[in-house]
Amino acid sequence: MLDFSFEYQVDGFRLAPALTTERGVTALYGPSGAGKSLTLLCLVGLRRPRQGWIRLNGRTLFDATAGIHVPPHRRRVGLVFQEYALFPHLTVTGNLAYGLQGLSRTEARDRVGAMLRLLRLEAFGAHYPGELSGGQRQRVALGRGLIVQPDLLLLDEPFSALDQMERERLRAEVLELLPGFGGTTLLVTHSLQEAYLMAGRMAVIDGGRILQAGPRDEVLRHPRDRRVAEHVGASNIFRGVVLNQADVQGGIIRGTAAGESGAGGIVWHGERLAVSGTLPPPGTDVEFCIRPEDVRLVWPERVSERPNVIRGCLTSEVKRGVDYQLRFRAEGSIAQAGDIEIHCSEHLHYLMKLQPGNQLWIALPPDKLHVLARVEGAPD
Amino acid sequence: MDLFPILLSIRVATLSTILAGLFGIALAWLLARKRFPGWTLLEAVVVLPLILPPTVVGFYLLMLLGRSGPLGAILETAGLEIVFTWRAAVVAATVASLPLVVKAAQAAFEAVDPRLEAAARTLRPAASVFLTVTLPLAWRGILAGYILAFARGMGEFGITLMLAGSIPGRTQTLPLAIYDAVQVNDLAQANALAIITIAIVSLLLFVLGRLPRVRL
Repeated sequence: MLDFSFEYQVDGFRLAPALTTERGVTALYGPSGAGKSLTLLCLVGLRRPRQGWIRLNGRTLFDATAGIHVPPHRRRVGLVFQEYALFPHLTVTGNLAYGLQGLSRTEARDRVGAMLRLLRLEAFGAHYPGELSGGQRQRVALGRGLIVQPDLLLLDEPFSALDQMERERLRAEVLELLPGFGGTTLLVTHSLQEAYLMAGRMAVIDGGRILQAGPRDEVLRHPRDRRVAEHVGASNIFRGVVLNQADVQGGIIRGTAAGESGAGGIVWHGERLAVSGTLPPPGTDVEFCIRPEDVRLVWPERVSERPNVIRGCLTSEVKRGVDYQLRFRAEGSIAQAGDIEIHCSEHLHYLMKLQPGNQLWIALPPDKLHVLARVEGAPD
Repeated sequence: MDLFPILLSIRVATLSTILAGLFGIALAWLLARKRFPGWTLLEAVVVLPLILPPTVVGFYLLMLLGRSGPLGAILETAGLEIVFTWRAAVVAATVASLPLVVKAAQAAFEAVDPRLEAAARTLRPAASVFLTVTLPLAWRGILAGYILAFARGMGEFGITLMLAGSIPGRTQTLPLAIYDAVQVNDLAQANALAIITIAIVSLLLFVLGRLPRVRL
């Protein structure tokens, strides 16, 4: 288990991340300049934080108060860089064996041999990194980190230097290799897709702080506040006021079907929206969000069966490979909320004969509406 | 023909290359990899001998290392006499060639990807990383600096004259001997010494051009 909370200051940037994470892959996800790589450098011991502590599987790697700062090579932390950072003057074998200094010659040779087999590079032991393909280099870099059996593996944007096809192939390869490694992996990435694909857990970082961490779907579906929601692609963020429970008697937009019993509601530009899940006390001013792929397009004959149905028109569409990004403007007072972004499959787009200017109904499923906490320190 | 100036110059250039090499590597690494208060000042001071007239550098070294100079007095009580001995020629050549080593090695260190060192540091102690990753990747640039330093040591004239004088058989190096020969109109002697100098420097350039490249 990796557990840290520290503070590091450099050139006016204050890095103060705190995270507790378990075995398996955790994505450290955030935009450029969020402090991702600097966090890795602190974890690995190449930068010394001013305050705080870093613990790994019960070992203290750093503790400012106790004056503990374990040097990088004693931390049992592996580091794999973007573009791999292989030693160009050493062969594949030399690269893999680099961290095996304390072992006897035969033991080191056995380990290197086993790693070469695992990486499917038996024939390349005597090759130099310059003679390998991108995928082979990546495997060597991963092998060099894993061969010393670290407790923590840090992957610093390992795929961002590659083209799309190569990236997908290498992600698959890494996913294949990682389960054999029983430790904790921290994958630094600025790609939400990559975070989703590779990691079971996710930590969203921005401005030097971890904004939210937890199981991947929990973070994606239930972002804590507006900043996290924006980062994880829950791009429909609106404001409303929590409704009194007593008022929610089927009180749903446009007099459509009753909401689920026990559901609370939000008053949204004069309309009532059913929301499942717990809500703050009635009268509270709240922000809430829904992911674009969670907005439902409703067939006209099914309108009466659905809660939270809104009528409006499609203002624009962008085809993005296999799906469409649509923008929808509601009729009436909800138009003040701004456009609603919707992602829908190419198939559904075809079936509903969608095109900009079309009138249509959409539904915001009560269980997909998620109330956000107020951003700390934000103005009212 | 008197071989003394040739042997002295080779000795002086060898020793000054070793000294400038050791100090130069340390300074270059500091300048390439660390940021600290006084960094700019240090980088400027290091190149001073390259910019200032040799006589100026020689004059201040004389003030520093002479019998009444602050460092010279200490060294004299320790029984080490510098000024107007062959050691002064070594000091002169070291000071003159230090900037060449530092500049070449600094560029070489800066060309080493810091991520290679970072990856290496997670696997081995810092000293081992320096010896097994940083140096092997920078050695070609560093060696080029050494060869320039050796050539500078062979050719040093101004600082040497100020600090060591030109005492035949004691401190007269190859360039000083050539100058002396010309002064007394012994052109054959000057020519012979000049050709030997050219031969030695040419050999060095040849070696420099043949250094193997590191595969990247």
